[in-house]
Amino acid sequence: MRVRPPLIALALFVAGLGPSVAAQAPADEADDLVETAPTPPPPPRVLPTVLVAINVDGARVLVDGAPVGEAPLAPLELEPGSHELTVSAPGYEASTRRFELTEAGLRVDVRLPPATDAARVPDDDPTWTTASAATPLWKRWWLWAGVGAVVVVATIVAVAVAAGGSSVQEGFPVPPIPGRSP
Amino acid sequence: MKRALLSLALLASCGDDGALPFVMQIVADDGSVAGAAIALDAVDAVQIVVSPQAADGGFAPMDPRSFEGGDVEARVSAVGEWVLTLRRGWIERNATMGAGSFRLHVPLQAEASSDGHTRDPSLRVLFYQGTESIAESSPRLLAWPLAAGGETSVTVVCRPGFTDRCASR
Repeated sequence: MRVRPPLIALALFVAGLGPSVAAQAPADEADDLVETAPTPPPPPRVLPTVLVAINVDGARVLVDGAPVGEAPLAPLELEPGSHELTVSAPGYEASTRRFELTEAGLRVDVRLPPATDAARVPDDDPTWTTASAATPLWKRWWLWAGVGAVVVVATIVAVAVAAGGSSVQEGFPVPPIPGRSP
Repeated sequence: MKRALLSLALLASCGDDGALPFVMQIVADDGSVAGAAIALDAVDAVQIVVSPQAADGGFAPMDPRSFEGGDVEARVSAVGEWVLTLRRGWIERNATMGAGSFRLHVPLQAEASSDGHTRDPSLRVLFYQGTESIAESSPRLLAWPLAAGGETSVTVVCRPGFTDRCASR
């Protein structure tokens, strides 16, 4: 590897030898020094991130046409520049937009509106329940549960009254003798 | 809702605490004790009287209570005695006939235990024909408080001079 003298000086400066050493070293010696010194590893490149916040969990997310996952997403590392974001979910209208990503990163909020068809309640779909399609009162579960509870309570009260009124299975009641204080 | 229904069902099945009654066996003398047997049809009413000892005062006041269509009445008298009156209808339904006499099985349930300082009260059982007492038991003490599941036996003998009335109406 051949390194030009100005670059040698820069390398030495970065390595902590200072400009004086670099200036005193002849060009040939500098060649040897640079070739034998360990090359510092290049710093890892940090990509800017974009955080895509979506109002529908499970929504599919594509960046530049490639799927990147489903909402909720962790921040995405992307190359700086312009990207196309597409978000779609069943029952919602898909959303596509472009954004410009800089080194500072970005947050993109996406709110998917309900699809027109999804918002409409189909008349012939039995799985849909609406307030207007009221169930008859006699088909309500809570009505019959309440009736059952009333019957049970009434039975208990009737049995208790009958037992207290005439039955002597427990014996005729004998009151206590309080006694007098010693 | 299901839990509430189950609780109600449990309540219905439980009832009272299920304490066993104290049983008083009233035995009508068959003539072996006092020389005159007591016939069942000679008795119009049986009265059980429990009298606390003077030092203990009287029973806790209670309003008269009727049972079994009025055939049984329990009350505390003005002097603090507990009086249980068994009338003819109840006697006929519950009498157990033996050889020459009858027995009555009377269950009693103490409503509350005493404080432990109460002395044993005295017990008398009387047989009435009309308004007149024709037979009675010897006075005796009744172990107090009444023990759940306990039992005592009381023999009622014809009073002197009432032999004919004890034999029949």
